Amino acid sequence: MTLYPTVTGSSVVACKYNGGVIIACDTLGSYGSLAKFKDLRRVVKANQSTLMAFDGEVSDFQLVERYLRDIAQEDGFHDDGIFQGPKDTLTHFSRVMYQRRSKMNPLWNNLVVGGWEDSEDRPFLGTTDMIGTMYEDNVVATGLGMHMALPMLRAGWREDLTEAEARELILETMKVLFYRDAWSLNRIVVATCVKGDMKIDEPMEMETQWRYQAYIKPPQ
Amino acid sequence: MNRSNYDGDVATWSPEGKLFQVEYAREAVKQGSAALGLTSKTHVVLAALKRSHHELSSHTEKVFEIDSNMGIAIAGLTSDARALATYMRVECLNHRFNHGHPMITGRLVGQVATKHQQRTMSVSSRPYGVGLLVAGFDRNGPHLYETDPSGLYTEYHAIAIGSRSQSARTYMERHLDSFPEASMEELIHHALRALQGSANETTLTVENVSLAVVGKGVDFKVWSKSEMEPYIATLVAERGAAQGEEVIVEDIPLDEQGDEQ
Repeated sequence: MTLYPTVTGSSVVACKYNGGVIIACDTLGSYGSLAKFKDLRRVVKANQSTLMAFDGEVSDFQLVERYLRDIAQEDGFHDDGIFQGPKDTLTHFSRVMYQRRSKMNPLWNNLVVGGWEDSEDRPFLGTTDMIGTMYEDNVVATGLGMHMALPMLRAGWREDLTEAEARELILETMKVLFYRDAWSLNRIVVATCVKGDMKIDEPMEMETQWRYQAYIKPPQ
Repeated sequence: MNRSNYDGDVATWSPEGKLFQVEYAREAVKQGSAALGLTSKTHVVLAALKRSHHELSSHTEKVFEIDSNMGIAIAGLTSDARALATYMRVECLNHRFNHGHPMITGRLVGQVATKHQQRTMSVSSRPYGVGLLVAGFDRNGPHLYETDPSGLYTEYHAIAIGSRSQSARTYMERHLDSFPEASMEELIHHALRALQGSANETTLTVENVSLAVVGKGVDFKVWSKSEMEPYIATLVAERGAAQGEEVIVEDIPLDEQGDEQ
């Protein structure tokens, strides 16, 4: 019976744009309020056309990564050139999350799945939480991101967003999260997926502003 | 087929390397009435000859929908076929729920073949006495597969199984080149002409024929009698013209078990 997570990742922020999907996370693995692991990669290639990102317990996601490898391997055994896409991946893992919650032993993660859905020739973005609540949307965020990033994403989102515009929008939300989420880091990874191509960028450090009078010379 | 010293159970090989119980199961398929399938670049058509074991009884259905993207035609023990059809339907439903999209036909056929194979090395169960023609449409296009009690499965452009299926196969081999580009209507005409070959002197009617189509933009459906009517009428007219004589409707004589002679 799982009661609480130990090493955790914080928010995931993601949105669709014209022709693709963009997902971002910081690279922090927190050990409670200790910022212990500063280079944790929370966005991975789930399969040939899908990215998956997580928040919550790191070790639980390591199990999810093993499942992803096993599924891809078995798909290969069928020798029919057909592999899981993002919709398949999200649906499948939602059922896994629900099954675990029904056994009172959840995988303590929110999963964000984004990619190119070949069967419908369109970008796909969705999420499942640790009890198997699954939904698709144009904008998706987890954890504190749900409260702080989502309103910003909803305000700034358009159907014809370019990749550059989407990246800017996402970056703004990540900055806000660094300012306000105490268990976050200003070092982030941004990943994109379009038809036929997936890219997970190297970590980048966000420029943030702390030189406020109130910090330099706090009032007595 | 002769009795043998090595046909007691399916877990016994003969010295010639045969499993007689599996051979006997395949014989049950060969005794069933004809079922056939053919594919074009965009569609798969299944057609079958239905038997009625008694003048007062209905004609036993031979074609079953499994999901909106696939269906089967059967030859052999109908009760075994229904058990496999139920298995396939449940697998398709579960797959849709767990994966968010319809099952890939070829993968389900592989699972059915595994079920067959498991019964070729067990002392406690007998092989299924039914052959399936599985028609499906997925992201790789139209597909037609045959499964068999031995556990073997093969993909086909066109295939016929059951009683007098060689006539149908001969017709299909002769016209194979015209199938890929054929329209759905042309494909159905071919299917019925091929089926007539297996029916021999029996006239095809909307009562004794089962027809189904699946394809691009076309969900799997077993056609109703009224939908088949124009195609059957065309076939009867063609046949009448070819024979130059009046066509007599004649049902296949049956023995006391209700099996075809």
